[in-house]
Amino acid sequence: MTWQSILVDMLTYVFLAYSIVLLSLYVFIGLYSIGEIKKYLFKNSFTDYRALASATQAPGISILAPAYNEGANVIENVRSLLSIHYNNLEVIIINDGSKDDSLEKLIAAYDLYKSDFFVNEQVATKPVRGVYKSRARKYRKLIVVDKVNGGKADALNVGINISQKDYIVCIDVDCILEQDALLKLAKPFLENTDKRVIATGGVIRIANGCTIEDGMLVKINLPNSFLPRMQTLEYIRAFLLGRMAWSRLNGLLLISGAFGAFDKEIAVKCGGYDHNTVGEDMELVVRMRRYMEELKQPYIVSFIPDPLCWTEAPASFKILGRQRNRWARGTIETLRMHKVMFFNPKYRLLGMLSYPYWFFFEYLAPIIEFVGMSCFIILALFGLTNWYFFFCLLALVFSFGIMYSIFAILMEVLTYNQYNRYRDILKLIGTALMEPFIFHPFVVWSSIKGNIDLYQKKNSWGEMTRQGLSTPKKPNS
Amino acid sequence: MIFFEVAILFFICVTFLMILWMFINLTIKKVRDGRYKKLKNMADILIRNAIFLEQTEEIKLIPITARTAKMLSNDNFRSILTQELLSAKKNISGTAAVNLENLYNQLNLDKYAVKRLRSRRWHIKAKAIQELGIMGQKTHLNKIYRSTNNKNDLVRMEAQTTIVKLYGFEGLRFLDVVSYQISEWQQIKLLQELSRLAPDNFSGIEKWLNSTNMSVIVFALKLVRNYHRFELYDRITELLNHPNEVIRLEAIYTLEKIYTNETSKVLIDKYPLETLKNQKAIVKALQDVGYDDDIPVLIQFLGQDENELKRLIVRTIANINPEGLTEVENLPQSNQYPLDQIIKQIKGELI
Amino acid sequence: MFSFIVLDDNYLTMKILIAEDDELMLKTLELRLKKDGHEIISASDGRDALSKIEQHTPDLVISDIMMPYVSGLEIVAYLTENRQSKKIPIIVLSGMGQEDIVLEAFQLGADDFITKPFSPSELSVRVKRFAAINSR
Repeated sequence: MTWQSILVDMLTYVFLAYSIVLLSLYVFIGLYSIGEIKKYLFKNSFTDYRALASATQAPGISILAPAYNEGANVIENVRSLLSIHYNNLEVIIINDGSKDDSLEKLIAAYDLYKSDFFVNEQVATKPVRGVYKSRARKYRKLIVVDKVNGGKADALNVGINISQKDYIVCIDVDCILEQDALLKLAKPFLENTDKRVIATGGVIRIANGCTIEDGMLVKINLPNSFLPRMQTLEYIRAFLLGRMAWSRLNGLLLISGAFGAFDKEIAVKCGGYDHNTVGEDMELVVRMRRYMEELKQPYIVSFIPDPLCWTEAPASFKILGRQRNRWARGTIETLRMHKVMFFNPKYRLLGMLSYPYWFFFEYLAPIIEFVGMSCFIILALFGLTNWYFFFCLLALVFSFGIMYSIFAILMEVLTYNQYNRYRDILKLIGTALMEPFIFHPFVVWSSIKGNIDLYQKKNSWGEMTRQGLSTPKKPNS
Repeated sequence: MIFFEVAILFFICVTFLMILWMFINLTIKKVRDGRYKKLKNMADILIRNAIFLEQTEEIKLIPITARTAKMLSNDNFRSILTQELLSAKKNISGTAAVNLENLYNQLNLDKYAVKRLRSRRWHIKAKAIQELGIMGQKTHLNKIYRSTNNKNDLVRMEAQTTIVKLYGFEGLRFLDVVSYQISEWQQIKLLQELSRLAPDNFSGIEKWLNSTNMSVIVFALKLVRNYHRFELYDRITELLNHPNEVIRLEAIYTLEKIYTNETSKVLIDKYPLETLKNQKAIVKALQDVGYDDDIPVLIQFLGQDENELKRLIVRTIANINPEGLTEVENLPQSNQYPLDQIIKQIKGELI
Repeated sequence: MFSFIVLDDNYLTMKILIAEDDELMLKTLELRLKKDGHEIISASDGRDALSKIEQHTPDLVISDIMMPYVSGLEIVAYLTENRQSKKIPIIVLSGMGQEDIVLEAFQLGADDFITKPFSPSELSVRVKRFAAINSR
């Protein structure tokens, strides 16, 4: 045996072992999520959420919606937030130093005046320029804050400081909420008697292609264009299988920044959103969990599998690439900030399972995939390994990937069945078949670029946070 | 290598099976949806006939066409009909509602519900309990009552709600024995159920206030304030010394609703010993129960560092007597952050 | 702008718009009030209701509070803001235990409320009262 062949064998086995562990975990996640979804749906079938909308005992909720250069749609978006059925509610729109006429438009449309408002600075933020309220009684739930630009995390922190309710719900202002979204998100906070619910996450679905009128979702359609449809499949898989399983284990690390609810007291005690990371949504959840673990207080991060919030997905490779690049950086930054938890039994499930999973299979997966693939191609080119083996391995991983996606589509059909035409389902299956060849390599490449960018820009944090909201501006159809 | 080939083949087969399953399921759903509209329409006509039936001595039965009678053996139709009956019953009261109950019994739908009541699967059982409750079926009291302490939380909750729905305040006696904690959500539902009834001088609260189940005490405190049970005032003030923070908080909320002219003094006495959250609640309560005499003490309370609490204190002072604000303005620190801004805000609120 | 067909001394009919998202309930109310001789326009959600109010200018609106798209409260506010010579009266239907919302509805300009569950006959009587007031 030459040293080359030993090296090749070792590489092969490491790569193979990693793949097998990853595939087994996916199988576990897929199967483990079924029970939880079933339980939730049964429970849902005889729960009347409306009871909560008007109950005097319902918890107070502040919706925090940061807006940066949203002038085109801001009036409609705010209107749709104000039409939510929930009595004990305030809607806080944070104008993050927009360069357009968002603020002027809001002032005119909602008859706003600048009120003297003491901003309780529990979390340090960029200066607030003014707090506006409406003269009209029907808009009494609305508060508009004008502040100096500081990025999404900073805007949300201002919202936390302004909020006078016990719970905060953070949303992207251009998201479209289902009618009872807020009720469903609020309920877990009232349900647990022995553990404190510190956060609840909702499901995000892709709105591209859907019919939207006056800021309201009228008809659900499968996106027609290629990239949004790929993401539709990706979101179904991630939310219906991944998050559901993690929530059953109470090991959920990520609540989407586009729609999530938090216990304000805990969020404030943890110091609010961190504007030093581009992954502020994940980082906050991790920090809140860590805080509770360190206090040794029982807690839950809850998750609602119902589609609650619809958002426009990036439709061009350029914008999608930027988004995935940012997600990769956010993950690394979060993991780095909390590395003390890595296999640390003091943090129980969080340290022994959630964190390592994210490290090995969310952060490392694209890197290993990229490196492994490159190595095999190089080795095969030099004739050090045979092409047959290479293609077998590739086929194994691809066929598994496709099977997993099909499983996710099956679960969607059996549960929510939102795309109920044969044609749509066929299209989704087609998407699943194509994904490993076109979409997936692009996502991996974007995330590798994120790693490189982070490495290069390590010392210039400030540059990134001043770009306004971290969501790249999405085209509105 | 054979491992790879077998595995790949296996994955492909599973994929195909799942796709097949998907399309079969989709087809079944389509067929069912197609029929659903027709069946729902039939059910709705039947229900509307029942609603508008003029009750007379001789006609007690709701007329049913032969076709509908035949359809009743169809599980699908029966479940749609039950669903529609339930939703109608939730919206309608009076003689029309009695007609709906009669229709339910006349079609023997209760028998099916009772069968499901015995199910081992929690969601079937819980749903059956809910159904019997909405349809006012009092004959199955014992079975349902026993479920109020069931180990499955959903069965338990539905049983509790149903007992209260059927027996009103009388039904609350499950609180004597319940050993599981009653969630906030469930308390909201129970209170909502009770809000439909005419207030009644029901008994039992004293007992519940002494319960070993913390959530029962909390619930009893909510009952005291919703039904203004002034006679329990002394007992509530005692609960301000309870070791559990949540119970003390609920006691504060309750005193806010059944206060006497002594209440503000009692609350102010407790203030220095309380947690921040409860201090906020006390200050808020003083908006309603405080007097001019309390203003100097409240101004003293401003000498702490929590800004939110400061704002609440200033707001309470302004609500007790707007003149009180001038006293706050006379404080040396009233020109500095944060008090200057707080005063501005509260002044704005007064206009 | 009010058009009545006087059947006898105290029996007047109106053009009534009912907004309610529960189909069975909507149909039930419609039938009950039609029996009294009223002309009924039905709307199955808030948006539908607003456009039909503009189109038909009813004499009375009966609206559920919790409806998809546009809530009953918004309809109340709309009627208060867009009053012409006389405000179109509105009765709101609320669920149980919704005191706060009913209060809000009155502050926005609602004229009456009925709590669910209610009896269709009770609604009929209340509607007759509105008809009598309006005819004066």
